[in-house]
Amino acid sequence: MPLAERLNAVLEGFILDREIEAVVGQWPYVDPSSVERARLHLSMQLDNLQTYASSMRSPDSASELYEALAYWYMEARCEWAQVNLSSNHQLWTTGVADQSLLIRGTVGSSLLTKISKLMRKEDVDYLENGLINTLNGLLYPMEG
Amino acid sequence: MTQGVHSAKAREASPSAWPFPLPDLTAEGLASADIGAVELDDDGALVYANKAACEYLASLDLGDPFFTQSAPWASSGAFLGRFRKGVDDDQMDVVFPYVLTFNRSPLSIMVRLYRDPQTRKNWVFLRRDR
Repeated sequence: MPLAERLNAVLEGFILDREIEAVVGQWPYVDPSSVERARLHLSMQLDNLQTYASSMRSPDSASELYEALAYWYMEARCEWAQVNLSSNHQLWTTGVADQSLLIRGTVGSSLLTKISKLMRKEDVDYLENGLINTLNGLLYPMEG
Repeated sequence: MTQGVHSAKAREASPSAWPFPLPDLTAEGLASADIGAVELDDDGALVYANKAACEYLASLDLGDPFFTQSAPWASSGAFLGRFRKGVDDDQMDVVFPYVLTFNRSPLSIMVRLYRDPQTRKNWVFLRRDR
C-alpha cells in the first residue's frame, strides 16, 4: 500500500477524543483545562500529519512524504522527551505531575509509535540513536 | 537546564528510602521476585530481565539498547545520566520516583539503579509506587 494511504489509515484510526478518554477515564478527578491544553498540543501534531497526507498524496511525492514523516517523528519524539522530563520533574518537586503532561505523554507516544511503523525500522533506530547521541554530550557533563 | 538536572539529582532519595527488599540476585531469586529486575551492561544493553520487569518494558530482546528500545521512557538525563555516571564512577545506588507514559496509561513507579560492587553488574529495579 502506498505510504500516503498508510498514513491516511493511521490518521483515520486515531480518534483523538477517544485516545484522551482512554487515559482520563481511569482518573477519579479530571481537570478540564488540562484536557483542553493537551488536546490543543496533540491536535497540532495531528494537523501537521494531515497536511502531509493531503499535500503529498501523489505517488510521485512518496520520497518527500517519507522525509516529512522523519522530520515529524524527530519533532514529536523531542516533544515527548520534554513532556517526560517535565512530568517527572514535577513529580519530584511537587509529588504530582500535571494531568495535561500525562495525557500528552500517553497519547503523544501512541501516535509516535503508529507513525514509526510507517518508517523502516533501521531509519527509526537511526533517528533514535541520533537523538540520544546528540544529547550525550549535554546530559552527562551537567551532572558533574 | 543545568539547574533542572541538578535539582532532580538533589531530590533523589537515599537507597534507604527504597521501601522494598532488594531481590535475591540469584537466578532463582530474580525469577520469583515481584520487583522488576533488569540487568544492563556498561553500555546500557539489555542482559537480563525477569518476569516482573515485563510490565515496564517495550521489548525484551537481549542485547537491545535499553534506553532506546527496551525502555524509551528512560532516555532522560535523570535516568540515563544517573546510569552513565554510576558506571563511570564504578558505584551506583540511587532511588527516585518516575512516571511512565510511553505507550501506556500513566503509571508511577519507584526506580533503583544499583551497581553490584562485587560483580560490577548494573541493575535497574522497578516497582509500582505505593
